[in-house]
Amino acid sequence: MNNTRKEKISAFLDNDMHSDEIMSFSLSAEEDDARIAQRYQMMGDALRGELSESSFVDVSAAVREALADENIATQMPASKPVAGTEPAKASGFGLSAWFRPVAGMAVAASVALVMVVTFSAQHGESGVSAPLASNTSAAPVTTVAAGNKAAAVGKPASDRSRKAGQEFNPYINQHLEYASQEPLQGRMPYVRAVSYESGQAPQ
Amino acid sequence: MPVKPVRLYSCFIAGFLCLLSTNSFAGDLLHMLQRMADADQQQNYRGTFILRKSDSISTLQVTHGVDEKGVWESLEALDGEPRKVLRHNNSVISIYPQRKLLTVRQSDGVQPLHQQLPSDFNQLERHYSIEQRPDGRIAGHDTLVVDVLPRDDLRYGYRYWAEKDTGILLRCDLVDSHGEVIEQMMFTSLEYLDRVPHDAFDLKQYQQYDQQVLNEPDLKVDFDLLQWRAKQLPDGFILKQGHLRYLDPAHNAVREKVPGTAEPDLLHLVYSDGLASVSVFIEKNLGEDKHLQGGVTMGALNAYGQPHDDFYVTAVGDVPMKTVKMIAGNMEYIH
Repeated sequence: MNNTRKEKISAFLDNDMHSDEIMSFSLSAEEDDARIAQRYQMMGDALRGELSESSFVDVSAAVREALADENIATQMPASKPVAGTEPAKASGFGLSAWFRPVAGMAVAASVALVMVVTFSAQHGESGVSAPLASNTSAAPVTTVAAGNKAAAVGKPASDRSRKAGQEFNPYINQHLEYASQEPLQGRMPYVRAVSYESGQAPQ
Repeated sequence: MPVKPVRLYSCFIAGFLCLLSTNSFAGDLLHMLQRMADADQQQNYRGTFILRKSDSISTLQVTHGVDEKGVWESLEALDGEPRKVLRHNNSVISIYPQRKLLTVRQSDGVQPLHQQLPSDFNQLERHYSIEQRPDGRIAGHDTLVVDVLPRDDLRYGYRYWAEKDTGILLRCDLVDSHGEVIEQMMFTSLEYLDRVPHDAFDLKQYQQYDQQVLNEPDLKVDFDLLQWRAKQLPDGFILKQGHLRYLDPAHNAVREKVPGTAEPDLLHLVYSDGLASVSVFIEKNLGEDKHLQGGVTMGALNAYGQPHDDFYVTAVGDVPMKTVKMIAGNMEYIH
């Protein structure tokens, strides 16, 4: 890795990177970036005397935050449909399956890709443990998508055993994550999650 | 120094509640509910509680603290397979000691533990009656008791026991339209602490565990552009959030793919009446044997799935089965 790349990683971690540069930086993420970022993060934590604390800093989240102000679908105003464009259904199954076709769609797609690229690159190789106390998510970890729900929910409705809950876990977790925002729910969604997770750790 | 909008909003809510509390009985109850929602922003404590569902009872320990870095909480199951969930603001770490496994999830946009009551209380009262019941006593602590009961059978009711002095929720019963308790959380012991017990949140002992990151890239969606809508919803339910996600884990390794080809294939919509919420997941129809068909009940949660032409719709929520079925059946693709 050349020094320029290292300087860019350092700049990114220090929030010194210009917003215009973040996207190209993310798109060009390399396998070694995660290790470099982790080392820099550890050094920074050590210098701040924070190595002893459990760090929950997520570099990929930092990228997402940095991009949040850039261009996401939420910020695209509704505009006139593009002439001649038919909404895709299962065959194409792109963004047009969810949205009316507008000019902003291509931008949304590209940002989605950037997020994924960043996520993948920053987590580097699979199955290698690293000190969690330094940086939870910059450490090399096994990346597991919360997806693949289609396979997870393959049981017929008649099977109401506890296994139904286990197989439904990805949906439950995603729902409880948002249910927890309702003010009178308190910790109940998380209590439910702990309860349902009995014996349901990801394999 | 400029006043932050959040602070202004909090002042407005506090002032509104204060006004209500001095003028109406309902205001007192709302004030109590707000104190209950705020309590976890102010207290350090450790306690044990039970969670009772129709077919099971489990015991959990909670450790909760607040410091300048935010809110910390640890939930640990004391029976069955050892498991622990740590929360710090928006981060959720699940630990499975038997499997030497640790998972990390960081939620963007999810409100970090501190919650405010809906600003439109009248909206909540349109669909729930709020009534005070005789005081109670839970785990040796005196409590105020409030019922929040639905005015129809499309949502569950809640009975809250909140500690009189601090507002901490010590017991919560979820009841159906017949008054049957579906789920019950109740503290059996509670100890206040002077400060955050950081040892409860130390992850060093788990550093040799396998680590999985469950973060999932997603995009918030513009409701105005949505090609999907619910033709009919229970009164008071509105679309609160929408996210695009990836169903296929292969999309998490798209570095080798051509930019622009990886598009989200799961739409997650969240509907809520300000208290209960329902998630609707819409994905490609992969065939009936690949999806949940019909309904499944899991304690307080119900889920219902059904095909919708080339799509598959699954609704999940802490509401009765008839409600998730109604919502799943009323999702409509706008051509």
